[in-house]
Amino acid sequence: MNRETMSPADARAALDKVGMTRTQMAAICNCPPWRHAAFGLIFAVLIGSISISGTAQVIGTAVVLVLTGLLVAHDRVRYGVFVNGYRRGATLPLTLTYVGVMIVLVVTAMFMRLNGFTLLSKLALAAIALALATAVSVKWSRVFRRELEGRP
Amino acid sequence: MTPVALDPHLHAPARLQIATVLANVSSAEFAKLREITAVSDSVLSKHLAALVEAGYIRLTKTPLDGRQRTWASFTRAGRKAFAAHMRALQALVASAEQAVAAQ
Repeated sequence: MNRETMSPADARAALDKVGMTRTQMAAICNCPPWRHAAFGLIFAVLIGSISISGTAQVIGTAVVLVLTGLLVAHDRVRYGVFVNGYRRGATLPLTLTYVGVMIVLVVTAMFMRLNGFTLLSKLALAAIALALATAVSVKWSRVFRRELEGRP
Repeated sequence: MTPVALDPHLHAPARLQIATVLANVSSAEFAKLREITAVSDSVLSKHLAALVEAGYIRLTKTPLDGRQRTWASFTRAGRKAFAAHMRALQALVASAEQAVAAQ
Protein backbone atom coordinates (compact mmCIF):
# COMPACT_ATOMS: atom_id res chain seq x y z
CA MET A 1 0.00 0.00 0.00
CA ASN A 2 1.24 3.50 -0.61
CA ARG A 3 0.04 6.98 0.18
CA GLU A 4 -2.28 7.04 -2.88
CA THR A 5 -4.46 4.38 -1.29
CA MET A 6 -4.99 6.24 1.99
CA SER A 7 -6.23 9.78 2.32
CA PRO A 8 -4.90 12.13 5.01
CA ALA A 9 -8.33 12.00 6.60
CA ASP A 10 -8.10 8.20 6.81
CA ALA A 11 -4.59 8.52 8.25
CA ARG A 12 -5.90 10.96 10.85
CA ALA A 13 -8.74 8.55 11.69
CA ALA A 14 -6.21 5.71 12.06
CA LEU A 15 -4.06 7.80 14.43
CA ASP A 16 -7.15 8.73 16.43
CA LYS A 17 -7.97 5.02 16.71
CA VAL A 18 -4.45 4.36 18.00
CA GLY A 19 -4.92 7.12 20.58
CA MET A 20 -8.25 5.68 21.71
CA THR A 21 -6.74 2.20 22.04
CA ARG A 22 -3.90 3.54 24.16
CA THR A 23 -6.40 5.38 26.40
CA GLN A 24 -8.41 2.15 26.71
CA MET A 25 -5.23 0.33 27.78
CA ALA A 26 -4.39 3.01 30.32
CA ALA A 27 -7.77 2.38 31.94
CA ILE A 28 -7.23 -1.38 31.90
CA CYS A 29 -3.78 -1.10 33.50
CA ASN A 30 -5.00 0.85 36.54
CA CYS A 31 -3.89 -1.26 39.53
CA PRO A 32 -5.76 -1.18 42.87
CA PRO A 33 -3.80 -0.02 45.97
CA TRP A 34 -3.40 -3.56 47.35
CA ARG A 35 -1.53 -4.56 44.15
CA HIS A 36 1.10 -1.89 44.82
CA ALA A 37 1.32 -2.94 48.48
CA ALA A 38 1.75 -6.59 47.42
CA PHE A 39 4.69 -5.56 45.24
CA GLY A 40 6.14 -3.69 48.21
CA LEU A 41 5.61 -6.69 50.48
CA ILE A 42 7.67 -8.92 48.18
CA PHE A 43 10.67 -6.62 48.53
CA ALA A 44 10.14 -6.20 52.26
CA VAL A 45 10.29 -9.99 52.66
CA LEU A 46 13.41 -10.16 50.49
CA ILE A 47 15.32 -7.39 52.28
CA GLY A 48 14.12 -8.41 55.74
CA SER A 49 15.09 -12.06 55.28
CA ILE A 50 18.54 -11.18 53.91
CA SER A 51 19.20 -8.99 56.96
CA ILE A 52 18.23 -11.70 59.49
CA SER A 53 20.26 -14.82 58.63
CA GLY A 54 21.33 -17.19 55.86
CA THR A 55 18.51 -19.60 56.65
CA ALA A 56 15.96 -16.77 56.71
CA GLN A 57 17.31 -15.61 53.35
CA VAL A 58 16.74 -19.04 51.76
CA ILE A 59 13.19 -19.21 53.15
CA GLY A 60 12.56 -15.56 52.25
CA THR A 61 13.76 -16.09 48.68
CA ALA A 62 11.42 -19.07 48.30
CA VAL A 63 8.52 -16.98 49.63
CA VAL A 64 9.45 -14.15 47.25
CA LEU A 65 9.47 -16.53 44.27
CA VAL A 66 6.04 -17.93 45.21
CA LEU A 67 4.57 -14.45 45.79
CA THR A 68 6.01 -13.19 42.50
CA GLY A 69 4.50 -16.16 40.66
CA LEU A 70 1.11 -15.51 42.28
CA LEU A 71 1.27 -11.81 41.40
CA VAL A 72 2.18 -12.51 37.77
CA ALA A 73 -0.64 -15.09 37.53
CA HIS A 74 -3.07 -12.59 39.08
CA ASP A 75 -2.02 -9.86 36.64
CA ARG A 76 -2.46 -12.18 33.67
CA VAL A 77 -5.98 -13.18 34.76
CA ARG A 78 -7.08 -9.73 35.95
CA TYR A 79 -5.64 -7.53 33.20
CA GLY A 80 -5.18 -9.95 30.27
CA VAL A 81 -1.82 -8.39 29.50
CA PHE A 82 1.70 -8.81 30.81
CA VAL A 83 3.96 -5.78 31.02
CA ASN A 84 7.69 -6.24 31.52
CA GLY A 85 8.99 -3.82 34.14
CA TYR A 86 12.14 -3.34 32.06
CA ARG A 87 10.21 -2.20 28.99
CA ARG A 88 11.61 0.67 26.98
CA GLY A 89 9.89 4.01 27.38
CA ALA A 90 9.22 6.59 30.05
CA THR A 91 9.22 3.97 32.81
CA LEU A 92 12.77 2.69 32.17
CA PRO A 93 14.64 5.44 34.09
CA LEU A 94 12.40 4.79 37.10
CA THR A 95 12.96 1.03 36.85
CA LEU A 96 16.74 1.41 36.66
CA THR A 97 16.78 3.88 39.57
CA TYR A 98 14.74 1.44 41.62
CA VAL A 99 17.11 -1.44 40.80
CA GLY A 100 19.99 0.76 42.01
CA VAL A 101 18.16 1.55 45.26
CA MET A 102 17.37 -2.13 45.80
CA ILE A 103 21.04 -3.06 45.35
CA VAL A 104 21.90 -0.53 48.05
CA LEU A 105 19.22 -2.05 50.32
CA VAL A 106 20.51 -5.59 49.71
CA VAL A 107 24.06 -4.51 50.55
CA THR A 108 22.77 -2.73 53.67
CA ALA A 109 20.83 -5.86 54.70
CA MET A 110 23.97 -7.99 54.29
CA PHE A 111 25.96 -5.47 56.33
CA MET A 112 23.37 -5.54 59.12
CA ARG A 113 23.38 -9.35 59.16
CA LEU A 114 27.17 -9.63 59.33
CA ASN A 115 27.48 -6.96 62.01
CA GLY A 116 24.83 -8.21 64.41
CA PHE A 117 22.34 -5.36 64.22
CA THR A 118 19.20 -5.67 66.37
CA LEU A 119 16.06 -7.32 65.01
CA LEU A 120 14.23 -4.00 65.35
CA SER A 121 16.68 -2.22 63.03
CA LYS A 122 16.38 -5.05 60.51
CA LEU A 123 12.59 -4.78 60.59
CA ALA A 124 12.97 -1.03 60.09
CA LEU A 125 15.03 -1.71 56.96
CA ALA A 126 12.33 -4.09 55.71
CA ALA A 127 9.74 -1.37 56.38
CA ILE A 128 11.82 1.06 54.32
CA ALA A 129 11.93 -1.49 51.47
CA LEU A 130 8.14 -1.93 51.75
CA ALA A 131 7.52 1.82 51.57
CA LEU A 132 9.99 2.39 48.73
CA ALA A 133 8.80 -0.52 46.59
CA THR A 134 5.14 0.42 47.11
CA ALA A 135 5.84 4.05 46.21
CA VAL A 136 7.82 3.03 43.12
CA SER A 137 5.00 0.71 42.02
CA VAL A 138 2.48 3.56 42.31
CA LYS A 139 4.79 5.96 40.46
CA TRP A 140 5.64 3.39 37.77
CA SER A 141 1.96 2.74 37.12
CA ARG A 142 1.25 6.47 36.85
CA VAL A 143 4.15 7.05 34.44
CA PHE A 144 3.07 4.07 32.33
CA ARG A 145 -0.54 5.24 32.07
CA ARG A 146 0.55 8.82 31.38
CA GLU A 147 2.75 7.54 28.56
CA LEU A 148 -0.15 5.53 27.12
CA GLU A 149 -2.45 8.53 27.25
CA GLY A 150 0.19 10.67 25.54
CA ARG A 151 0.30 13.10 28.46
CA PRO A 152 3.63 14.80 29.31
CA MET B 1 7.53 14.11 -2.81
CA THR B 2 8.72 10.69 -1.55
CA PRO B 3 5.84 8.25 -1.22
CA VAL B 4 5.07 7.28 2.35
CA ALA B 5 5.22 3.51 2.84
CA LEU B 6 2.19 2.33 4.75
CA ASP B 7 2.14 -1.29 5.79
CA PRO B 8 -0.71 -3.30 4.20
CA HIS B 9 -0.58 -5.84 7.02
CA LEU B 10 -1.39 -3.15 9.59
CA HIS B 11 -3.94 -1.23 7.55
CA ALA B 12 -7.12 -2.85 8.92
CA PRO B 13 -8.33 -0.93 12.01
CA ALA B 14 -8.48 -4.07 14.16
CA ARG B 15 -4.90 -5.01 13.23
CA LEU B 16 -3.75 -1.49 14.03
CA GLN B 17 -5.43 -1.82 17.42
CA ILE B 18 -3.80 -5.20 18.03
CA ALA B 19 -0.42 -3.73 17.09
CA THR B 20 -1.00 -0.72 19.37
CA VAL B 21 -1.65 -3.03 22.31
CA LEU B 22 1.35 -5.26 21.60
CA ALA B 23 3.63 -2.24 21.16
CA ASN B 24 2.96 -1.30 24.78
CA VAL B 25 2.90 -4.64 26.58
CA SER B 26 5.01 -7.79 26.50
CA SER B 27 2.03 -9.99 25.67
CA ALA B 28 -1.74 -9.79 25.54
CA GLU B 29 -4.37 -12.47 25.91
CA PHE B 30 -6.85 -13.31 23.15
CA ALA B 31 -9.88 -12.28 25.23
CA LYS B 32 -8.35 -8.90 26.04
CA LEU B 33 -7.57 -8.26 22.37
CA ARG B 34 -11.15 -9.22 21.50
CA GLU B 35 -12.46 -6.80 24.14
CA ILE B 36 -10.30 -3.94 22.83
CA THR B 37 -10.92 -4.53 19.13
CA ALA B 38 -14.62 -5.35 19.66
CA VAL B 39 -14.60 -8.04 16.96
CA SER B 40 -15.79 -11.64 17.05
CA ASP B 41 -13.54 -14.58 17.94
CA SER B 42 -13.35 -15.72 14.32
CA VAL B 43 -12.52 -12.26 12.97
CA LEU B 44 -9.84 -11.77 15.61
CA SER B 45 -8.41 -15.21 14.84
CA LYS B 46 -8.14 -14.26 11.17
CA HIS B 47 -6.38 -10.99 11.96
CA LEU B 48 -3.96 -12.74 14.31
CA ALA B 49 -3.29 -15.45 11.72
CA ALA B 50 -2.54 -12.77 9.10
CA LEU B 51 -0.11 -11.04 11.47
CA VAL B 52 1.57 -14.37 12.28
CA GLU B 53 1.82 -15.06 8.55
CA ALA B 54 3.49 -11.66 8.06
CA GLY B 55 5.97 -12.55 10.81
CA TYR B 56 4.79 -9.65 12.98
CA ILE B 57 3.47 -11.53 15.99
CA ARG B 58 3.89 -14.89 17.69
CA LEU B 59 1.17 -16.81 19.48
CA THR B 60 1.66 -19.03 22.51
CA LYS B 61 -0.76 -21.23 24.42
CA THR B 62 -0.58 -20.99 28.21
CA PRO B 63 -2.69 -22.85 30.76
CA LEU B 64 -4.42 -20.41 33.08
CA ASP B 65 -7.33 -21.08 35.44
CA GLY B 66 -7.55 -24.62 34.09
CA ARG B 67 -7.96 -23.46 30.47
CA GLN B 68 -5.61 -23.06 27.55
CA ARG B 69 -5.34 -19.40 26.67
CA THR B 70 -3.75 -17.82 23.62
CA TRP B 71 -1.27 -15.03 24.17
CA ALA B 72 0.09 -12.77 21.44
CA SER B 73 3.33 -10.84 21.45
CA PHE B 74 5.22 -8.78 18.89
CA THR B 75 8.22 -10.13 17.05
CA ARG B 76 11.11 -7.75 16.42
CA ALA B 77 9.91 -7.38 12.81
CA GLY B 78 6.40 -6.57 14.01
CA ARG B 79 7.64 -3.91 16.39
CA LYS B 80 9.71 -2.29 13.64
CA ALA B 81 6.85 -2.49 11.12
CA PHE B 82 4.42 -0.86 13.55
CA ALA B 83 6.87 1.98 14.30
CA ALA B 84 7.38 2.55 10.55
CA HIS B 85 3.62 2.44 9.91
CA MET B 86 3.01 5.02 12.64
CA ARG B 87 5.69 7.29 11.18
CA ALA B 88 4.05 6.95 7.76
CA LEU B 89 0.61 7.84 9.12
CA GLN B 90 2.01 10.85 10.96
CA ALA B 91 3.88 11.99 7.83
CA LEU B 92 0.73 11.70 5.76
CA VAL B 93 -1.26 13.80 8.21
CA ALA B 94 1.57 16.34 8.56
CA SER B 95 1.90 16.76 4.78
CA ALA B 96 -1.84 17.35 4.46
CA GLU B 97 -1.74 19.93 7.24
CA GLN B 98 1.20 21.68 5.54
CA ALA B 99 -0.71 21.74 2.26
CA VAL B 100 -3.72 23.34 3.96
CA ALA B 101 -1.49 25.89 5.71
CA ALA B 102 0.21 26.79 2.42
CA GLN B 103 -3.11 27.56 0.70
